[in-house]
Amino acid sequence: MKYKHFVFLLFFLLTSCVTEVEFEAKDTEPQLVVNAIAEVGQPLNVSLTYSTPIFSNKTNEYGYTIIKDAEVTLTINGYSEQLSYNSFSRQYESTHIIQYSDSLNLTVITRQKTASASIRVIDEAVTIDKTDFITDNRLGVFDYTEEHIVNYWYMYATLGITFSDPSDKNNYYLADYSGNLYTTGTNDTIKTTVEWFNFEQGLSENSSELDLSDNFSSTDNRVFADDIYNGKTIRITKDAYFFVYRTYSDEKDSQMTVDSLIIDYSLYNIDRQLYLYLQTANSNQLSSGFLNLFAEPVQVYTNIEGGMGIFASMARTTKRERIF
Amino acid sequence: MKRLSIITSFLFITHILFAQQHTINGYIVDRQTGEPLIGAAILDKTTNHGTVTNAYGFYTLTLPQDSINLQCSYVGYSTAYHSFFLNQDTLLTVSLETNTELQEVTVTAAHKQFGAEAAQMSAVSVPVTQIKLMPAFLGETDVIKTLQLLPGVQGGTEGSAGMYVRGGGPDENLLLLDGVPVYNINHALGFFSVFDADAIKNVTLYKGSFPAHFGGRLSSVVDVRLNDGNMYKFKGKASIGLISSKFHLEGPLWKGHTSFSISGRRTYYDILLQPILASLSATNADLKRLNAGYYFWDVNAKISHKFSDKDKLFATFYMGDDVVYANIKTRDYNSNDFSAEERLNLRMQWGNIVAALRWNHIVNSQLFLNTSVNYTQYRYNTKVGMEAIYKNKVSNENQQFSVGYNSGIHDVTGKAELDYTPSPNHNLRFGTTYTFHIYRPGVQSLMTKMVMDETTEKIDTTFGDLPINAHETALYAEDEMTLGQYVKMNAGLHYSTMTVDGKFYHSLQPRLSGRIKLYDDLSVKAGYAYMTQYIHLLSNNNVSLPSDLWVPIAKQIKPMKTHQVSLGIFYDLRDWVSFSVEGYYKAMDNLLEYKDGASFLSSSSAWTEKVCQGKGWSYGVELLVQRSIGNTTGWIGYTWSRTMRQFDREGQMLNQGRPFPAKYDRIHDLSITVSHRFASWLDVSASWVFSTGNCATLATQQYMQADVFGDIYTSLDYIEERNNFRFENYHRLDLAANFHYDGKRVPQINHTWSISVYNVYNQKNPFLMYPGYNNGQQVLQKLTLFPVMPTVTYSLSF
Repeated sequence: MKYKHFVFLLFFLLTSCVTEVEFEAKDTEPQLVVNAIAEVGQPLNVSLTYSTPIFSNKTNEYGYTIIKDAEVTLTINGYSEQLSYNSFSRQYESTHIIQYSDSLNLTVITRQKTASASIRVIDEAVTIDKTDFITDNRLGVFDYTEEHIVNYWYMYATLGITFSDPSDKNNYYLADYSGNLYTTGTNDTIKTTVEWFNFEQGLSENSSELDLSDNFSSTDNRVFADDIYNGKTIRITKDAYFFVYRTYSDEKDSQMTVDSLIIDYSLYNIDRQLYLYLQTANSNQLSSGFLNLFAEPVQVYTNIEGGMGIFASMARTTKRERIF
Repeated sequence: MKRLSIITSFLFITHILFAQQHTINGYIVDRQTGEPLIGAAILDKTTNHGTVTNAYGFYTLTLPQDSINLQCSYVGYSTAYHSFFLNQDTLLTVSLETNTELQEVTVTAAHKQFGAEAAQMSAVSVPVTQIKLMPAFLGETDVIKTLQLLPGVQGGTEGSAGMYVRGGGPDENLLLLDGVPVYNINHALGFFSVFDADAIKNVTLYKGSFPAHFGGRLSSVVDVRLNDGNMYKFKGKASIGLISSKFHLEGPLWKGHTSFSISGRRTYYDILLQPILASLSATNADLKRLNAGYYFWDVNAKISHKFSDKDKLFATFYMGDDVVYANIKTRDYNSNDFSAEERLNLRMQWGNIVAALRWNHIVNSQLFLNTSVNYTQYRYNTKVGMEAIYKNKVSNENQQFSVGYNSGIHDVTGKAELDYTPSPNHNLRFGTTYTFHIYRPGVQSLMTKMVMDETTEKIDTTFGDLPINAHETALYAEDEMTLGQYVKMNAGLHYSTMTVDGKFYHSLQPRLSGRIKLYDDLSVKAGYAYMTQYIHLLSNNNVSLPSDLWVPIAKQIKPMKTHQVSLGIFYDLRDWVSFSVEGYYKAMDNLLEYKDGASFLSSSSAWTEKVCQGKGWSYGVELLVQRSIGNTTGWIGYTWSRTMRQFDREGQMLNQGRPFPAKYDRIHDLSITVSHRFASWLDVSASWVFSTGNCATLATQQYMQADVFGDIYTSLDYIEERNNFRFENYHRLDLAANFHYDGKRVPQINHTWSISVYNVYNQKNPFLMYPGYNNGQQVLQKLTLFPVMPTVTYSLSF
């Protein structure tokens, strides 16, 4: 607070000229939001909500109005199915298991609005050729060939998925990694927490490293197109940091052993619509808020006619690996 | 046979006599100062042939051998007449006497140059006297702010000196100071321009139908010419305002041959702030020293030397800087055993240097040569340093850390231009320009030093982008043709090339403008111009920051180009008021916009990755009613226009490829500017502006993101369209009164008190709008920078 006078002076100068602007309510009519991701091998779930006006006099909540009484029709290859609302999942559920190349049409009719969208489910999913888990234990803290009896434990590693991109068309991908550390030695008085921090992700092809850190600036932004990698062998990497620590509720101590680490490497083939949606949704979040006044606002892609949201498809390939 | 010989001889002699023509050329100058007058008219009343002086005050007029009656005129001067028998080429320098009784003067210069008489359209010359009478913002009258009041020209945000001409961006304006481009025209983040009105002789704005000798920018040319200096007498002026002071001196170094003109100014807001900072420092136990502030300064200097009636040499120099600084010393802890002290030093400095050496030579009666060597530089340097000193009984520790950032652009230009007048109906102008550019996009420096007793560790390094060299050339030719009594035309070609990064770009740009005279004072004009621009300004559109970067085209970024057509009607009401109505349509291609989500503050990727290219178009109608002479002067300017953008190229899409309005798509723009001289001791001026609000992109709703990975409660902002929201309409009234009186003790000294009121009725115009909170409710808030602001300036002149 050495500079509080400055801060106060600046704040005074700025706020003295700040006034509230009357905003016309006509711009804030709630919109119908349809979110439905058709995953091959799974039934389709459809989420229906209304958007919330930001500058509304009626509410200051960010809660969304979930629509429970809509008429939702899914047409699969010419066959129509009426979707029913599940009050537990708060979604409309289909019984049809999504198949590759299905032609899908979704129509939503609510009391106020009607929306629709059509897609063709992607034709195939690529397989994962190889996965890897590289750690140099450079901090010397962890050697997973031995047991460790420490209060905390951490490790850096690079996780990789290698696959071959089909050259006959444009492909869009999304990579995901999930893992579980299994520990023993915990008891009621000691809480063991496992945190997995994600760092910068990279993308390389044919072992020639390419710096695409901008494309992977957020942990949520893991989508990419094969524009410049078409037909090549691609390796997606992700730097991770594993941190395990214990907190004590009394002075009793016990030993903790990290037994095993199992990682699920998942590669999603996504369609162009989902690619555009995830790209723009991520940028939208990054550019919103007061601290990003100088960032250009981002419109999120939608293919819903009469509303917003996304109706898209994807197929997942997962490879589970036990690291130790 | 004899008869045939006589007839043949007669015809031959008649032809010789009829075709016998001679050229009168020379300068038209101010009688008191010797200052060449730009755009002064010279007319032979016998043949009704005439011309106007060029940017150097030079004219050339070819007439048949006969008795001639020349009439020379210029705004604010008495008309001069010269009658003689023209039987040889004649060098004639005409001196005009200033005339304060302006309403009695017959002035034809204004419409000779840009009015109903001229072929040129979409151009306006603003008298500097008018600029000086305008209401001042914080005591400073400003050239660019005056130009913003003209139709077709819009300012940026409140108070800013940015210019948006006919839908173009702020980097599409070529701002010339004595023919040399100035890259950053802003002082104080754009609230003032670098052009000091006291140093200026003439300002001309071209918005379209560009003559072929201009090139390199898409939307406008602002041609600012500095005073050459008084050849006969020392003159001076000094002003003291609330936040700045300035001076102007001019006079002969060698009477009748060499003159100088120098002017300078500096703001002293930082000095006024010192007592406040000192009291803050004294009352805060943590602070040992506090020194901070902002100021700008600039100086314009010019020396003119006349070797003979045919040769003149000019040296022009401009330098100016904006400086932000802060020196803070804190006293964290101090005891007998241990003391700690921390220092923070910040310095940001940016500015231009412009230098030009120009030689004007009258080659012969029909040929005028202007050659020059120019240098222009813009630089931006910033440095932040921190130092911490820790001492105890057994050890001393000193840590230093500093980071710096330097960027800029340097140009060296060689130029040769020729004016050739082979006949009364043709005035040819051709020339060539070569410019060597050095772009320095950004170099960072880092220094860390740690001294622990006897041990020292130090890192001192620089890194960043390498300089980019580029070569730009231009070749042009144009002919101003008089085709009979009613038609006048200016046709030209401008060919430009750019070589950068081993790649060669070139562009052939036709230019055409013409007028058809319907009556003596009424004409219809039309024009077409194709323009290409090879450099871009990387800038956020909202504010003018010194860190804005000029960069050349790159392999991924194509040159910007425009095609503009315009059509207008011009009417001069007996030298009293001129009217013009102009319509235009402008098609723009390869325009730059930041990609969705990109921020100029982010440095994580190359600039070429942050921008995308698309097209744009703008169209509008501009009305101008202008009166330049008499006790009441001013203008009414109104523009109705639309400016749209469309970015629909694969991978460079904005607004899902749909057209959207540009940020400065202001549909209505009206300005009324009036100055009235009530008496020799009092003149009053007022200006009122109104414009449709700017566009901005605003999220109006939030909605739920699709659940791909269980992020079900993640919110997204809903933005229906890019630039979907309009700011409130902008309007403001400014008033000024100037009181003049002669000194009683020293009669040669004139005193002037100027009182200005900016934003008279305290309209809260938005500078920035952003979402905020009020009682937990999200609301839209606006930040207003300038409430009603009265200022007083005192000046004396001799």
